[in-house]
Amino acid sequence: MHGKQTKPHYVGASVRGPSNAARNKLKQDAWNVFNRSWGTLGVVCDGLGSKSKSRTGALAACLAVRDMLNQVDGLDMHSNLGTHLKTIEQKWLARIHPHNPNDCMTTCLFCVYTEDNWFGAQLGDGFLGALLNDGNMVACSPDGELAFNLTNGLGDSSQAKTWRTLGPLPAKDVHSIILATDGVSDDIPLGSYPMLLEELVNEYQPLNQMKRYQLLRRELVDWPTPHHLDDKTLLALWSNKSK
Amino acid sequence: MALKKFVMAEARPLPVLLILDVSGSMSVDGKIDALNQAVKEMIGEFTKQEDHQAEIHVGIITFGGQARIHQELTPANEISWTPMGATGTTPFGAAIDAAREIIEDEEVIPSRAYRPTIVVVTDGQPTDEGYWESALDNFLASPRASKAFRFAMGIGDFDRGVLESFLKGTEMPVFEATDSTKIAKFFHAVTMSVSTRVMSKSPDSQDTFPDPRFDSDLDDEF
Repeated sequence: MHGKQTKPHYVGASVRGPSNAARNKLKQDAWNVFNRSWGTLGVVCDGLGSKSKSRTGALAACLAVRDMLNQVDGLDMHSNLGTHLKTIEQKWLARIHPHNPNDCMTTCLFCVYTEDNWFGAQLGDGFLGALLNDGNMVACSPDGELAFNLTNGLGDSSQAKTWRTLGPLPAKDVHSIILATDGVSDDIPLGSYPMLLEELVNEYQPLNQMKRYQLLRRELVDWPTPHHLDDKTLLALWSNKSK
Repeated sequence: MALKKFVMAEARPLPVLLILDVSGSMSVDGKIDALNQAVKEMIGEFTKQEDHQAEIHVGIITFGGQARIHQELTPANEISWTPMGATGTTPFGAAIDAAREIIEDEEVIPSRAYRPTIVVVTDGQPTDEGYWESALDNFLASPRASKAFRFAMGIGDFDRGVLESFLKGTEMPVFEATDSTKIAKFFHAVTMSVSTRVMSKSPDSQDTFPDPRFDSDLDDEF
């Protein structure tokens, strides 16, 4: 059973990158936010562009995380974490059936807001971090294996999959959470995230959900890095307790 | 909004790292002159790339007597070319160490960079026997270095086993040059490979390889 808890605010958007546009391919990124009785899930996935069914994989991964949380009725963040993460893969495999998992390879980053705590986990590249109210930024530790746009993810059988986790963090200590695919995170210096999140929350909080989406989408379309190629997905969440 | 001001305004770099033998034997038969000319032309070609998706950075490590950085990794259009001289022994292991250090340094090659291209050219055998083997093992065990695209050319009486070890894990053959005239052709092929990558919509892929039959058919193809 879960006590009544407020839903966090969020803004998220995802756009197709010039590379997929030039090849007449659909966007391979996916994202979603789910509000359930157990809390709120924010999830961002980046299907590997080189794989034939990566879009399917990314969409399925968003739902697989939700499936896992529905099954366990929220996340007991202090135990069984390994089992829960394993369950995500099982749910994902069920959703992509009958496709070959390797053809559906995707990264998966998610955060859960439940019982007044934030928790996050990341498989593959991209960025998942939390700005704390004391101004510090905490993030899933970087994985040195993932340089040069080579990543692992769900469906990767060639190397050990290593989920990296964030939290649990008491909601009262957290200003905001950001999840981004590498199309966004590769072009943002790590040191910029605290100020970016502060400004983003200040700017988007007064807007309604549709306006938030439209504005952020426009920003991703007008990405300023020269010759950028990747799909871009950004999701930020902040709870009402954020200051 | 504000997102724009936090986003990098520089294109992603595509590093090209040359590890070049400038030992004394390279001074024979015009090899070092041919190498200087070929590298100069390659850099010149890189500066002409207009419709590119990345900024090509070129760095040069030489090994002749000692391993040293001849050219720091720098955008190609900012390089002021200085010819290399040839003298001394062939400390291949030290050069490979230097290359690994550069590749592993995220300050020099950020993770947002496209996969580097690393090129080895040599005309002899390593003189740091007993050391180069472990240096190469360390290089190939490096998660970042092992992800690079690798090319290797042997000139004249080179040690094929050394270059095959460098290329281990790739599908690339060792390019052979029986004389200095083939050096330019090899660099032309590398230039084409890099140029194709930076002009494609997937610079991390390498769909085209230079023709491996370097010593027989390349004259007709270029």
